[in-house]
Amino acid sequence: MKTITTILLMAVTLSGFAQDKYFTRNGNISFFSSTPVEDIKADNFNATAVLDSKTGAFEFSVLMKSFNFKKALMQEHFNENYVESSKFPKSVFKGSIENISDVDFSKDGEYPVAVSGEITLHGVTKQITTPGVLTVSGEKINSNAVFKLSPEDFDIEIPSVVRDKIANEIEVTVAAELEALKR
Amino acid sequence: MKKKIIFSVLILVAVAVSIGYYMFQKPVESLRDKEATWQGSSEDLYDEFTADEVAGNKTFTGNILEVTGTVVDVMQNADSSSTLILNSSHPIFGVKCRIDPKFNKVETPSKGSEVSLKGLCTGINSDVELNQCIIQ
Repeated sequence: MKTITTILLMAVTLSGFAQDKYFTRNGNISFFSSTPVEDIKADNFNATAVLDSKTGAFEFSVLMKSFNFKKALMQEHFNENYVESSKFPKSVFKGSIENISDVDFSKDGEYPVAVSGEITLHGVTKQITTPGVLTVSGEKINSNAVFKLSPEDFDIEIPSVVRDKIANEIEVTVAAELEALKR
Repeated sequence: MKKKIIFSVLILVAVAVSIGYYMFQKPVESLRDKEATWQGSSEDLYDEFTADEVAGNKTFTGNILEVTGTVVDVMQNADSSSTLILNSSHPIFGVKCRIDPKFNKVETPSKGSEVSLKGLCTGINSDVELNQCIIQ
């Protein structure tokens, strides 16, 4: 993730710049597909995210191969047939919190936010908007959001044999605890 | 005779279905008994991967690597697993290793300790990532 690396490098090299940045490298992004035939859940526990508390710029990135499934075969099919993770190793969200001025980073509490931006998955970029919540507690920020993505929108083809096992809309849950970046 | 044939076919079908079901239900396996294709320090891994990501993805991603390094950070994940960051030449990034207790009997190493572990390389995302790590 070149951009995250650049932001963080700037943050550590320019003093006074860093205090506006919050960062994590073990955020949890999971997805859930529910059909009468089968429920499928996968978790990625190593998402990287950076939030700029001043501008509201928010960025997430995950490696597709780092999603953990219960069943080995599902994990294999997900990587090889659906998201083609060797060809498209990463999924990235680049966007912003539109109402960042409503969030008081110096005061603990829950702040409802509106997030919008572009998500890139399987080589396809789509605009998304979702409500979310930022929870401030001291120097930590919890970011939570739930939204739906459709595999079709990202040119992910699902063979007809398994079509009834995979939902048309996949629920994505983001739960990441970001910490203030210190020099 | 005909009955015998039908019976055998039925048994074959039953066996095939159960094998298929078993394969489908198989959980993600431990890497404990699997061979690593690359061995070295976290510093070398990070340097080699970042020098050329395309070549790095070919050499490392999808393969089992055995890495030694110093733990510079330990994080508790959203599940019962934890993530270690092993040292590199970079001030922030390094080799990020997810340790799942279901594959490990030993305690998670603490910050500052030297570790040797085996893990499945899943690529590079600022850090080089290893999943399903087994502490040696």
